Amino acid sequence: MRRRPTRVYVWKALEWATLAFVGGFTLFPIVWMVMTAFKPVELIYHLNVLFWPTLDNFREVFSVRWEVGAKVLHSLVIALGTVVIAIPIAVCAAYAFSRKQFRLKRAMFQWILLTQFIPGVAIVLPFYLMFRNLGLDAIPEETEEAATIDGAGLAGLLWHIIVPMARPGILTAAIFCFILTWNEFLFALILTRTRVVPLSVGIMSFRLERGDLWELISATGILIAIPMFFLAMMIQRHFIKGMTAGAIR
Amino acid sequence: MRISRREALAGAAALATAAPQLAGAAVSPGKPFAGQTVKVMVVRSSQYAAQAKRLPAFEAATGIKVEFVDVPFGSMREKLAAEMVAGSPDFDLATVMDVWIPPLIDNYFGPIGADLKQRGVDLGRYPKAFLATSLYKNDVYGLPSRCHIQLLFYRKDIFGELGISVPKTWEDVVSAGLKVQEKTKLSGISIPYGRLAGQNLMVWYNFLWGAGSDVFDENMKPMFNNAAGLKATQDYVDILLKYKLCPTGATSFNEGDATTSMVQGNSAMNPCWWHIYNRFAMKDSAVGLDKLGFAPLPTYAGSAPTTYTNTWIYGVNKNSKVREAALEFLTWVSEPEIERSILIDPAENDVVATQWSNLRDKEVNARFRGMHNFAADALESTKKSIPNIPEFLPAVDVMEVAMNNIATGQASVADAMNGAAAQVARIMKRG
Amino acid sequence: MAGIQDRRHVAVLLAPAMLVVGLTTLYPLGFSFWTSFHDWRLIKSLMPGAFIGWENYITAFTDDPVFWTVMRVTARFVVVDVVATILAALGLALLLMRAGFTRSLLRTLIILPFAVSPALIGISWRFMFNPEYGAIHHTISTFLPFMAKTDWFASPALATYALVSADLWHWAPYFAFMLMGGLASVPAETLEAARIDGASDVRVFFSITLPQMAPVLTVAVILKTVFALKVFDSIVTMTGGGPGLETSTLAFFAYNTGFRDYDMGYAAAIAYVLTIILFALSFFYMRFIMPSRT
Repeated sequence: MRRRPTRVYVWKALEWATLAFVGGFTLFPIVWMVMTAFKPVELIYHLNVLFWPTLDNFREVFSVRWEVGAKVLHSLVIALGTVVIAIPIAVCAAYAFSRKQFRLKRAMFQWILLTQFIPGVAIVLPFYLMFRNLGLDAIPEETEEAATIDGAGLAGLLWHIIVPMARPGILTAAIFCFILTWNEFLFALILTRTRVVPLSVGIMSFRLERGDLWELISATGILIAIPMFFLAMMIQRHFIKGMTAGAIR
Repeated sequence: MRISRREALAGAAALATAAPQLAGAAVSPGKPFAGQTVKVMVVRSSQYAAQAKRLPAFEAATGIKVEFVDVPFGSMREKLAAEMVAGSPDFDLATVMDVWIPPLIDNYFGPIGADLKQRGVDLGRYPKAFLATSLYKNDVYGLPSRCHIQLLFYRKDIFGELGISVPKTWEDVVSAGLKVQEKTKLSGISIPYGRLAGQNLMVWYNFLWGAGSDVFDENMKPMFNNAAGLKATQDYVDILLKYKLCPTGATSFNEGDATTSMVQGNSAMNPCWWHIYNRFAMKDSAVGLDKLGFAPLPTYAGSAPTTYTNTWIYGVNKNSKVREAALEFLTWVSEPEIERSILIDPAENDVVATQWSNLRDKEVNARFRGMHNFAADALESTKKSIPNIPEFLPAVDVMEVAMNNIATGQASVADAMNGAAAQVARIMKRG
Repeated sequence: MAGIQDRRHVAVLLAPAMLVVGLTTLYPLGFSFWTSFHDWRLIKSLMPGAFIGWENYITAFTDDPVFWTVMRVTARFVVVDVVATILAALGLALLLMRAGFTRSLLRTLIILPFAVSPALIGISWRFMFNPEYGAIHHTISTFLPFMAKTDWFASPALATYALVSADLWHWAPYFAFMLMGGLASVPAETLEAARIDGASDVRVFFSITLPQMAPVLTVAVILKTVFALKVFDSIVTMTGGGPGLETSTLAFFAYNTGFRDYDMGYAAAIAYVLTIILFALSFFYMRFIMPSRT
């Protein structure tokens, strides 16, 4: 069955146009904010696309006036700390849900999932539980039995067998958790003292009585977003699989 | 807030030049509080940065270490709520904006009237309008720290070219604005009509007062929707809606955005606080100080000029563990000489003066081209200021939403203001 | 190895998780619930005031015109947001399903918006929509000159669209991947058979693909509705709830009432109304995914 060439070409053209639009729509804000971060402050309110880039804004945010360096550290500590605490807890719980049968299992699982819907809360447990398909279920039961027969206790079982095999899933969840915590705004705003402020709240310091300092906001924004980009790249394959697997069965 | 060594040295030098005998003057003899640390919550601004540079001098004189912690304006309200509810002794002093103070009285700030008297602080050195927000329950709860008056800033160069004289009434403003838009690409005047901390009401209060109305009457019932009030509101929004003198975006501008429009050369006038003078001196300004003119805020023909005042006070945390040391610092930092040293310091461009002596000071006025004399004149004739009641805060929220609704064409002046008055009445009634 | 050993294991494994969940959710939920039944206004006193029963809730539903405006605004925002995002996600999924370098590259690129925090997106959008120096405003004005003098944040409709565009930018990729999984599970033989029978692509899509995708789509819609109800950061940084109240959703209104107007009791009640709605939605969500799990 031969198709008329013109129809094919029109479709193709539309497709490419749409792809280009998607790329542009996705990248435009990012590119513009990156450009603003490198613009000299006199050009912030102008729409120049061509200019001599400068590192002044980054120098300024790291200076003692704003201490963004300290805030990066705080964000790191908070995010890493959360991951370090939450992931082991989640792994244990996920293992229990995945492998064991017990009363109230369904109810507890529902309750944990429910907590994800509470406004203003971003804890990793439900996410991990959704991701558990990736790792734990794929681990063959035989390996577990073999390990138990060999005399490994529960802790040994977890540490030596389950964790290594579920590593991609755990890693993905850990990174997901890190990203969420890094970007957390509401809780950080209310809960932190003025000294120990993470980046997400720190960015509000650039909103002054007299207006917003856009060039510093974008410079800090880049600093906030860059680690996230790298992490997102790292997990993108697992992320995709996790999304598709965890959603439906 | 950390200051680099270089800045600290420069600050000390400036202080020494301006007030060589100061270090010893206001403090208690014998360094009775040496070794204590006083933590101060300040709103991020150049004024407090300038004060921070002078802290080493205080430390040297008293042995008290003072730590400034600055909080961005956008987060101050939440921060204060958190500190207050927690009953935290973390900060010994805090700078707070007028409308946010009433809930803090006795809940976070303690009375200091007796202490100030004992230390010989003369309250008469402050203009009444500035001092008003420090007085509650027949006692003193703080000292004016950062006070602003309103001025009309305009493009001196453009007015000169087009032969426009300095506007004295709101009608003058309209005709000036129309002429500017006729002959140039600039907008006539930039006013914020968007929602943020009641900023779209700041110039409007002057319209109200000039027309003979006010927010509340003597019985604390809302009266801004009486006939005079509605006319005032109509005149205020006519600038935007009828004469179209404002830049696109003014409907959602906050104060900073509105000023940016003038600073970037897109508007010819901006009625705002005197501190925006500083912005025209900065690197990213497209309009230099030489092009900047300022005048007292216009009014209705036949009415005396008024100004709304925006005041921040230094209050003392009643939970503070080093109260006496905190008071020591407060006494020192509010000495007129400290303020003066910042005003005449060529490295600073901050115009804030809270005391008569500095407002009328010759050197200060020479440096800022008479701005402070304007301020002093306005303060002498201004009889009105904001009501010092806790309910004013939610009332401002209601009014700014109504104002924004009018500006965006979602409600008529009468509907919006009547609705707002009803809501404010309810807020007052809940008591 | 079932029996007692197993039960002890389960207890040990679950204890930390339950503890964390309890502390971070049960306690705050309980405290908020308690607060919503009291008159607690910080402008009056630091301590929670009198017990007033259902008064906060009654006031919200019967005596507060603002509350109903907020409900209307929330409904409008959620509908526009969910429809726009899911449609965009579906489009993205269809577009990026196939193999090929460009598509693979795009699939990687669209993860970037998800990594940017909504607060930051809100601030950036506000900067880019400014009529005088905003890049997005000027780009749109170039293509649609009559928009040059429009202030996006002054019109309820446009402000809503701006907010939705930010939320869509952030979430559409996430849902696109979810839908891609759904698309992948449509049996290839059915599609082949239909094509061989002469059906056009469009017909195939509507009579085979879409019905097969119904479960995934439902899950996506429910989940996106939940996320839309929780949108908060970008409203604070982009529109501040305006113009007027036209982008003040329930989440934003609850926050504003508590932390700006200092009325904690009322804010708690508002927050609970939102929480109930979310819980109801989550039950639907779990109904959908739970049957397949055991």
